[in-house]
Amino acid sequence: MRRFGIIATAALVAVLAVGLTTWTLAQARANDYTMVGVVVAEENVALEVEDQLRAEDEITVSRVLAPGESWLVVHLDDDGMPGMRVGLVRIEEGESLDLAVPLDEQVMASNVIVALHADRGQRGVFEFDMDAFMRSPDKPYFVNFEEVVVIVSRE
Amino acid sequence: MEKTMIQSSAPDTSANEAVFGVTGMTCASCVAVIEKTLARMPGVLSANVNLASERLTVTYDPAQIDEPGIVAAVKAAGYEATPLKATQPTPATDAVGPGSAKITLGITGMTCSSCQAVIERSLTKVPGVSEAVVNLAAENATVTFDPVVVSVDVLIGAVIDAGYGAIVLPEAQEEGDESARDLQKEAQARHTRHQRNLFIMSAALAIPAFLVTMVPPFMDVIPVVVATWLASVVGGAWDPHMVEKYLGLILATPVQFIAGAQFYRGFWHAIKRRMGNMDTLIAIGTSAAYFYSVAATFWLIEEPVFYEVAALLITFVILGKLLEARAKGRTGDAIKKLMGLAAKTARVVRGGEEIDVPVEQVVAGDIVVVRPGEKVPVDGVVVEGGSSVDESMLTGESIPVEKHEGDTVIGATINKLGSFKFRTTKVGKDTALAQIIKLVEEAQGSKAPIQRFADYISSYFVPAVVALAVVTFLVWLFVGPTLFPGALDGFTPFVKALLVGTAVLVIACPCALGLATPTAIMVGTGKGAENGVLIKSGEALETTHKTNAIVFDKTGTLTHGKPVVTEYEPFVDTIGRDEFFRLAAALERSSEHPLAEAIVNHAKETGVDLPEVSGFAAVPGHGVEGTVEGRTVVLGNRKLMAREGLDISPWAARIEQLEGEGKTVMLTAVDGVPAGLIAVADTLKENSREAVERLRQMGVEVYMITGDNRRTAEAIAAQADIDPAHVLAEVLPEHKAEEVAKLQARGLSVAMVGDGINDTPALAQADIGIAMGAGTDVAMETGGIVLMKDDLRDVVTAIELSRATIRRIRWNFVWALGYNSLGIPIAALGFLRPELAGAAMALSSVSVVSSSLLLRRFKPSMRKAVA
Repeated sequence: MRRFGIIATAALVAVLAVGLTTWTLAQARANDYTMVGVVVAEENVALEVEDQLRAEDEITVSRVLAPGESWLVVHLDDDGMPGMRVGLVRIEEGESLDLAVPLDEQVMASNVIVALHADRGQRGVFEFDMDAFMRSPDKPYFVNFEEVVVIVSRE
Repeated sequence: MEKTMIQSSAPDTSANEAVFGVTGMTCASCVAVIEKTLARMPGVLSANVNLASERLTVTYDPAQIDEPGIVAAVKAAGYEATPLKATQPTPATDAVGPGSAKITLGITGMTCSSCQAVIERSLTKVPGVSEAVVNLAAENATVTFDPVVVSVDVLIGAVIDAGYGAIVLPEAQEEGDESARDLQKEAQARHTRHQRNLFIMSAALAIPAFLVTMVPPFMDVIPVVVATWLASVVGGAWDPHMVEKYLGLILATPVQFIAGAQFYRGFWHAIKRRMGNMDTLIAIGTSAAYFYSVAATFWLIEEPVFYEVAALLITFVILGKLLEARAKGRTGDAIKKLMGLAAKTARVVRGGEEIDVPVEQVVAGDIVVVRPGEKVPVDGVVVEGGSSVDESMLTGESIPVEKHEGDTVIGATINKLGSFKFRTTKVGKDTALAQIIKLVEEAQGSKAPIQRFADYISSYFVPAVVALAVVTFLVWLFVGPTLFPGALDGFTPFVKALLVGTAVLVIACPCALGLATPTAIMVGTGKGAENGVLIKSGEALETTHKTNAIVFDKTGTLTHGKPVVTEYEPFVDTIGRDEFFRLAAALERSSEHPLAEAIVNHAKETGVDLPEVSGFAAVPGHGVEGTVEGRTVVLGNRKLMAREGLDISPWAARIEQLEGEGKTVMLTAVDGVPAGLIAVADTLKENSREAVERLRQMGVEVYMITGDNRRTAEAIAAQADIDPAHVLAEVLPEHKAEEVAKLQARGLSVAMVGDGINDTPALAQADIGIAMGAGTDVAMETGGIVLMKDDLRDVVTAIELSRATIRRIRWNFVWALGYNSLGIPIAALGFLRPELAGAAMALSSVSVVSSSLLLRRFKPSMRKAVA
């Protein structure tokens, strides 16, 4: 029983030490971790979009490398953050070139944001709610804690 | 499987029994091989192998085969046998009547009183079993069965089928054999070790599971870090939210199915017997949380998971059991202490030489030498020398007792300064210490009537709780969202209902209830033994607390039981005080009357030389007469004086005064002249009055019962401060029980205190019989409580201890039921997470055992004087 006590105490101390270290490190970068979507390695994802004309009613994505079935989502630019969703196209896994994403309405904004989301819930149904970020299956892809997005300037 | 010989008849004294340790056996087939091999040997009457204890017991005819022959036969069969001991046949079971035997099985794997009920029911269902009593705290089962109908194998099989472990304790009942106890201890230690390993594994997995799924920032950081690592190493895309679920699954699965396997096993065995126990509740509760989480991991991926609930719950329950086992171990400290008292060696005179031998080799009749500071190895009578002996370890009496030639000494007591030799009278299982250990063990294994309350509740609790959990689940599922929309905590109604139902299931487990009584009984009886009060059963301990009337036998109980000369006075100046006493004592030397013995003893003690007597004659009903140094001496009562024609009226007032004090007055005449009186009385023990006063303060009516005439009886009663109205005088021994019954008819709960010699029926008639003076077999067998020494203050201690124990049991019930009755509504209202319910449940068992351990602080109010 004495040996058990020593082992248990040692285990507790170890757990506390590891926990405290992790907690301290985590606190320092907590914001980086709280809203992370589907994590993917840099070489497995790509999103390339050229600047485009404002008059167009679609956004053309030059190249996309999707790590799985995915969605190309076009948002209005809300002060540098993805705002209202104005375009949505489902794409298959792998590389696609020159994809056109139709916009829902005539978008007069000078900038839009194109993001790449996973399609992981019900296939073909875009299930993402910013207010229930963690529980949404179709979260955006992240590389190195950065969301895979391109801000597209429309002239 | 175990094989054990059953003998319900008296053993064949022409046969020997030998026990061997056997190595090399792996399974039941090896058992069969050895048994069959030996059965074919001429002279072997029976051979029984216990695979668990690796012991072989052989009954054989020594004229046809010997131990080396048996060893050789076993060796030829491919195994090794080592002789452990040889004895006259010892039944593995206690014969308790024709066609009936009793055996004690050590049980492992019990978790709560429901397990106890499962085992009892499983055993009593076996044809041939008349009674099965399981002690949860002592972890054993005492089974009364008909050996013709059922074997021990079947009994053990029934326990194993019920989902528990069983080992037979072959000789513990008979000899207090430590190795038999070691067997059980070893099994328990193995079980505890296994549980400890499971706990370490569970904790190592459940704590990270809890951190990963519940505690920010761990729940934010770790899944992302792991997802990033997976993405770079394995490739593909990893959702941290799903990674968190996978981590939960990976961490919780071993806990659920390795550490939790015991609960599934217990659940399965309980289901087979259509019963419920703690395993039922834990298995259902953790399975609900675990399997729902699996569904939420792979199918309902938007739903949250509760892996940590299942893992922590199992961890807490195992931790609770470990702490409980540790605390339970301490409840048996008193027995361990008693066992530790036994001497290991004895210095015996053999062939004129003093040699040290193991105590097991001492036989009755040996002369044993005890030097200063040494332990008296066995029981016996001093034949040479003298010393004072510390008997505190057995009697609680701190003052060393003087021992001289002819006095008895008890094994395990410690000699102080002198040296002496004694002739052994009792060895091995017959010694007072062995009997005390056996008695205390039996008491600790017995069930107090109050336990029925716990058994009754437990039997209905589990099904009721499962039903309540289902109702709670349904209410939260269908009515909860409407009634308490704000209480869903962001969960869907299904998830909330599942969590609440699981919490109810877990918090309601009646584990602590089953421990409330037996742990307190174990500590209480052990504490009694420490104080020289041997309580023979849980029932006796419980009954004693109700005592509101106590009847003391006078002679030998309130008094020393031995008449002594209190005074002698001359009637005339012509014959001096010493002279008339010398003549009277000389005459009495030839008499066998108890009063004569008192006079002769007094003469010896005061150094009076007693001359020879001639012409001695006893005058029945009157006294004695004879010639001493040529003078005619008569000694007797008034009738003798009248017969001699002597007038004693001048001293009548003094005589009556002495008689009024309860003394017997004997008159002496020398040469036809009244010479003096000698008063003899049985005197009150030093502590009797003090004990009587204390009992009265405790609200107990004190009575005295005696065959003496009322005047004498009242005189003694007055000395002891007993109300004359409470003196039951002139009661013949055979009518004492009737007097006790009359008090009981008045609604009193009566304790009878006697020496067990002529008051056995009264001790049996009383609600509780208290026999004084252990060491005599009669006293040990009579009454529910045996006092180790002739001190009435121990009667007070017995009642105080009983009251303290029952108070503790009631507190334990409050603790145990308090957790349940407070916890259930809290859980049902959704305020308690299941894992916290598990922690609370574990805590309830630990708190009940700890509460029982508080009894160890019991101190008798009448403290003994310190030497």
